[in-house]
Amino acid sequence: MGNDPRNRPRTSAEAAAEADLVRRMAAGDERAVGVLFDRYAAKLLALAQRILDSPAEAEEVLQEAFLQAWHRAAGYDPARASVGTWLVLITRSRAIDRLRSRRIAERSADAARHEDPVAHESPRAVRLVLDEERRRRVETALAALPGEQREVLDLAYYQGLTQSEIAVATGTPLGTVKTRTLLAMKKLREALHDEIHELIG
Amino acid sequence: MTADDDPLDFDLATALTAGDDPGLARADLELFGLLPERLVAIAPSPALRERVLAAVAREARRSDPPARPGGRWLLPLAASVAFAALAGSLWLGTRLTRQERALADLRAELDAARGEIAALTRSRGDLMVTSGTLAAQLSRVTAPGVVVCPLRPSGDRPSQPGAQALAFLVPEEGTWYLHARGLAPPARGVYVFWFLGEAGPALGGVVRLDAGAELTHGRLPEVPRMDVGMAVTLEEDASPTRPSGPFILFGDEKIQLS
Repeated sequence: MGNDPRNRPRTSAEAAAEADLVRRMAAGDERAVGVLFDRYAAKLLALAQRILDSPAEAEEVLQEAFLQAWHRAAGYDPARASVGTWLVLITRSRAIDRLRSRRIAERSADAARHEDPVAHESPRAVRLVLDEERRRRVETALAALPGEQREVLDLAYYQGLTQSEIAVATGTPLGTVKTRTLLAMKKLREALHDEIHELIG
Repeated sequence: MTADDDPLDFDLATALTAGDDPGLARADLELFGLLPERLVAIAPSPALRERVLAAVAREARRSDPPARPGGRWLLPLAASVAFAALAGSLWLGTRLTRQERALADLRAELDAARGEIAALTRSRGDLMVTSGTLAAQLSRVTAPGVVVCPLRPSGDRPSQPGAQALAFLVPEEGTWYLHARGLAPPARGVYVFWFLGEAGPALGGVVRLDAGAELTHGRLPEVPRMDVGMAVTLEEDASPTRPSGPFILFGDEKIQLS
C-alpha cells in the first residue's frame, strides 16, 4: 500500500508537488487520490479513530474525507494551508460532526455522559508509520504543556468542544479556559516553530 | 462549527487563538495539522483503500471532473466545437470543390471562346487580305488604259465549248490577268496564255488552274504586240516558244478602258 512514514513534505518543492496532486484531483485525475491516500491515510485513520473510538466509523469517516477532498479540490488554496493540514482538518471535521451526531442520539436516549479524553488512546498500536522525528517533537511539545492546558486542547481538537463547552465540561471559568488555550497555543507555536514553517514554506 | 462550512476549519483557529493575525492563524492552522503526528498511525487495509478509490471513481463518473465549475461542459463543448469545425470544413471543402469545378468549366469555355475568336480573327485577317488583294486587282484591271479581251472556245469543234475567259493587260506595268470560267483542268499538259501579234506570238505564261483558281496572272518584261489577239492553248511543255498544241480559247476583240 506504500504508506510513507515520512509523509509530510519537508521542502517547498515537496509541498508544491503535493499541491499539484490536489490540482490533478480537481482536474479529475483519480490517480492523484491514490497517491494522497497512500501518503496520508494511516495518519488520518488514526485521527478519526482517536476522535470516534470506533474502527468501523473511522474507516467511514476516512472515505467521507477523501470524497470531500475530491469534491473540494478545486477550492484548495496552498496559501491557506498545506495539503496535509487540509486533509487533517477535513478528516477531523467529518469525525467531529459524526461525534456530535452520536452525542445527540445518545443524549436523546440517555443522560449526557462525559467523555474521558484519555480513553481515546488508540488500543491498536499497529506498525509505526509516522515520521519519528516529527512525531517525537510534537509529542515532546504536547508533553511539555501543563496538564490543564493539554486537556483544553484535547477537548477542543478531539472532542470538538467550544471554549464555553470546555468550561462547562471541566467546571472551569470561561476566562480561564481562554487563557489556558492561548498559552497552550503559544507554547506549541514556539516549540514547533520549525515544523510549522516547513509546512507554510 | 461544522465541517461543511469550511474544510480548512478556520473556525477552529479563531476559537482557539487570538485569531486576528492572519500569519498567526495560518501558523495555528498548520499546528492543528501537526497535532495528530503524535498518534500512532493505523495502516488502512487494502480493502479500505479499494473502497475509498472506488467511491471516488463513482463520483468521478457521476460528474467528471466534479469540482471544477463548468468543467463538466468542457468536453461536450470541445466536442461540439470540434464537430462544428469539422462540419464547417467539410461544407467549405465541398463548396470549394464545386467552385473549383465551375471555375475549371468556365476556364475551358473561355479557352474555347478564345480559340474561336482567334480563328475568326485569322479568318477576318485572311478575308481582309483577300479582299484587299481583290480590290487591288480590281482597281488595276479597271484602271484607264487597261486592255480587256474576251476569249471564247476556238474552232468549229471546240474541245471545251463551255469555257470562256477575260484577259486584262495593264500596259503600264506589263501585267496581265486571265479570269477563266468553265475551263476544265487538262488531263495532260498545261494551258498556256499567248499574245498574238502579226510579227509572231509572245508567251504570256502558264494558266494555273490546279488549285481551282479562276484567276491567274503574270508579268512581262515589255508590253507585247497583240494586234492579232490573245489565245490559250494546251501545250505539253510549260515553256514553249510558239504555240504547238490545240487552241482552246481565242479572242481578238480588244477593248481599251478609258
